[in-house]
Amino acid sequence: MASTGIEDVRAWILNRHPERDTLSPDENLIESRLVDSLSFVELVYAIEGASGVEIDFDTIDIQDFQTLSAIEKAFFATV
Amino acid sequence: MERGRVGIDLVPYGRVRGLLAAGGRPVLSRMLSGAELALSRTDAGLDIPGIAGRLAAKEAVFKLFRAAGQTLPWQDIEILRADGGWPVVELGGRAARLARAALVEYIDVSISHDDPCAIAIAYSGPVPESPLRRTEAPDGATDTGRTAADRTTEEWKWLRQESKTSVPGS
Repeated sequence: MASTGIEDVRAWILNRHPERDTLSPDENLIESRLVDSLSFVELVYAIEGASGVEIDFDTIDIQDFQTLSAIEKAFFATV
Repeated sequence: MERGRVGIDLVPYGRVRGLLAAGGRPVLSRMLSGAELALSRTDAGLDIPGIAGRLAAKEAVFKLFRAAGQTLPWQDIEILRADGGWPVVELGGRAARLARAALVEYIDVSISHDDPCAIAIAYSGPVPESPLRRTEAPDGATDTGRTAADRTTEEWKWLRQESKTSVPGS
């Protein structure tokens, strides 16, 4: 079951793309242009807000932001 | 770099307004340096077209690096203003490292604004020859005895002031 936090991120992305009503966990957010360079900074803030994790812009690994699954694994994984 | 490269980007003013309304988060201050923010303030408030052009120029410059899998180092690509009013590019930190890795020696940018968008184009290529050292011997040595490699090294010394890489734009 997906965490509430990652659902907040999914809702944030979908809210920016009213033409979409679904977003699969493995859809590439960047290649599909759901997230571009400008909105990437906002996405980072959205993830911070939903996860409570502070993200260092200087050490970001783009692989952690490619898909919802990757975001969930990097920032919402429960131990 | 033997051949030139170009990068281009367009930013609608509405995207900038959206960034400003991003829930009070300091989005723009993550993308613009202090010097850029100072240039983006006018007596009437923030210069939205100017910010859009500056962001477009940053993206255009980043495209010159062809850095797959890298995020845009927003603050490391500064778009400042020369005394004459034209844009000047300064690279620092990760952007300067990406430029060196891509063998980008020289960058020019040009920005245009027309509501509702700003568009910027960046060009990189060999460092333009100064008229003072235009003559070059067939073996690659210049009239001052410097080789092309020497000249490149000297240009990098000139480009790298402190931790920044200063590149004039037009």
